[in-house]
Amino acid sequence: MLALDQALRALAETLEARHLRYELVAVGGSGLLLLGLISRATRDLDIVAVVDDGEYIKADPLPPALLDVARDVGEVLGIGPEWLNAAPAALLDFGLPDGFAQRTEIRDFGALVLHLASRPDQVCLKLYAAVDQGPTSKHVDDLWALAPTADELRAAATWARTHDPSPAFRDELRGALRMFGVDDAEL
Amino acid sequence: MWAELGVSGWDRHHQDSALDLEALILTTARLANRDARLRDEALDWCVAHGRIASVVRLKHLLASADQPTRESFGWFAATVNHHTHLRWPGATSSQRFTPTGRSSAPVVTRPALLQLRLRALWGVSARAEVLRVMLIEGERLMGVSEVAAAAAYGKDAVADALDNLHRGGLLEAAGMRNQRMFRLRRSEQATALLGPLPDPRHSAPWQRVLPVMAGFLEATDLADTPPMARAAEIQRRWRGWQPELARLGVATGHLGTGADFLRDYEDITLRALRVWGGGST
Repeated sequence: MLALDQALRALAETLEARHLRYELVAVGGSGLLLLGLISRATRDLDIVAVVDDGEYIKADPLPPALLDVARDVGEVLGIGPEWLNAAPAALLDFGLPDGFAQRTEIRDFGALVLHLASRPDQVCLKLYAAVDQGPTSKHVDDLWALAPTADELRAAATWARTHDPSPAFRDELRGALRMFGVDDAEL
Repeated sequence: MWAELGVSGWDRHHQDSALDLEALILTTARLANRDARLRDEALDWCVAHGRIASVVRLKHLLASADQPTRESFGWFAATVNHHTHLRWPGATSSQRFTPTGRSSAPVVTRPALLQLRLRALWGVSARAEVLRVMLIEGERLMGVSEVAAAAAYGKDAVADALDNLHRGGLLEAAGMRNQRMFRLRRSEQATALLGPLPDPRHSAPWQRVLPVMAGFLEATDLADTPPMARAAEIQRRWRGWQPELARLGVATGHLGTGADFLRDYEDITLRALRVWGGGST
């Protein structure tokens, strides 16, 4: 937690010094860590969107000036140049869960403002990622840490199907839900 | 370094180091806004004695210089051109300048002014620059490209100069036609003819060192920046300096991380500035 917090403060400080300011939408492990929902060490900050005048803009590619600052800060702190990345940006192609933006939690670091995905939205994203990357992935552990209710998992499964309607994904999704004790979801 | 050239008012620290006039002019222009007195005295010297600077070398060094250096040299060159009949390259708009008249003519017999002594003997020419490089490098065999880079002259002119100096008996050559290497021949006789030479151990390759020194000095402007932002900015600049620092043997590898980063950076830069500033290696 300290390392991530330090990196974010350093990022904000450097953005300020270079007269830059960004609002970013963060998902994934770092977002959960910042919300205090998990405790595993992570230093990657997964960005799904850049907020521009209240609108979500797909984060792929991230603004070059932001990447430059993140690279400089990452190298100074020894966490590598790509700790801030747009890996989950494709989630925006088929849409985030309804009401996602209204539920985000804001963390204001000054020249850097993070919109963190809320717990129920993280359940959606983590379930989708857990199915996508298999039962041994870190996403399954994160999902356990979130302790989702059966209703939350059913809602998450419905959203996940909008991203992948294939029969193969449905079967994998059913298996994942069973792992969490839900075997009556309508998929 | 300017004190060696005859500019008044500074202590001499580079008596044994082979100075590089054009590299010094470019770096002085870049740092001019930090030291008004140095700017005025350097301009005064250039207006009085700038004819012994090499326009060809200025062009070559300018071509490989960064944007801030090119921009600052623009007004410096324009100011010199305005007060002389010289036509230094890259000139933009001249600035107001009143000659101080305090500069004295360079004493070219000083060891540090080997470059100007060679120009006095051979003219402002590729031949003089090639000889300077070969005298500093001693007995080492060098190819045309390496000599051209060290001389900051074009390869064709350097190849001709090397060939002429070889035919004239000052250099010896080895290797095949397209891969010929040269080195000084009869260096004792050359030394007897030319007089006291600078100490090669104290003669840094100033055309490569001075831009890095300027960068280090400019980075001191970040002193009031919050520490992490300062470290990140230095890391950005360090990436640009790193290849040259490695070639110069000043720093290889990476700086430490976290709290070690700025400490490592300061250790390395202070050590380097001490060496370069004192003229000893």
